[in-house]
Amino acid sequence: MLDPFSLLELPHTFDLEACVLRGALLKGSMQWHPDRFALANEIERAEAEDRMAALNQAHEKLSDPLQRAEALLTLHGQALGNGTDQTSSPMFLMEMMEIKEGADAALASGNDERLAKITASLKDNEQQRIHAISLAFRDWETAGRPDDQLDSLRGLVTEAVYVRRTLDGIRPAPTH
Amino acid sequence: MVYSDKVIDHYENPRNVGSLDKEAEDVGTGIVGAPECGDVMKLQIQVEDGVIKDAKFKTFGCGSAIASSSLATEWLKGRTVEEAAEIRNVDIVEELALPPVKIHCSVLAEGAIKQALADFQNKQGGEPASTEE
Repeated sequence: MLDPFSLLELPHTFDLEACVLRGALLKGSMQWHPDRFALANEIERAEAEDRMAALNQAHEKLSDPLQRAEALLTLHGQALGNGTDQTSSPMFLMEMMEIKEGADAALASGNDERLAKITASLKDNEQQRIHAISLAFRDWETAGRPDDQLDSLRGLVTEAVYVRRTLDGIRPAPTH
Repeated sequence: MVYSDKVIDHYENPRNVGSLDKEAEDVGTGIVGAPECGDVMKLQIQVEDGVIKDAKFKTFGCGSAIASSSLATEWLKGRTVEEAAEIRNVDIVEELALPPVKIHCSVLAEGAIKQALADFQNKQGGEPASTEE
């Protein structure tokens, strides 16, 4: 299975603008779009469908800066762990726990305003982290991708993923 | 996925939920997380004369993560600090009949125990608890 960059015939870099990603997806679609295989045999049609699905998936992944960073780390042998990463600092984890506690309390008491505040501040937190990740990956590439920076990049991405999962875990308050 | 009866029992009636004073000299705190799923687990022990008198946990996570930490606090109470260090995640996996996809929950619990013990020992200045007033 090719990595998402190779699937889209893109260079292994963080610096990929949305238009470049779109262009790569379009190029791939011209070759593999199932419409082009309408008259082909079943095996060829199935392959085209698979290829197109893989291209769409790769495009989606790389369009999200956080997942793009993860994909780059994976390419450098630094894939994020399967839920057993224990490298995050206790202070960061405590902060996440307090946010979860706050969200739980707000949910339980039906305090929508408080919940909206917590969600907004988490989203803000996520955006700031993604911004920091963008800068860090660009610096790293400019510096010639030194291995000794991988640990710190991985740490940044891990915490940002954490913030995102925490955000996902907070069920939005009913709107009525 | 089907949870075992023991997981469901711990999930529905979690033992020792709560917090201890993390600043207290006789309390050790461990906090670990699983970034991929956003789980976070806090486990605390209170030690008296080298024996764990009380243990509390607070976990945000799936049923298996809650059950693993709940079980861990049950096992910790009454053990000496040395005995506590011997708890392994495989023991938790076995007791709760955790499926392979949930083994990381038991790894988290073991990590939390280790951290809590280390935190406690740090507070004692590396010496086993006894002479603190």
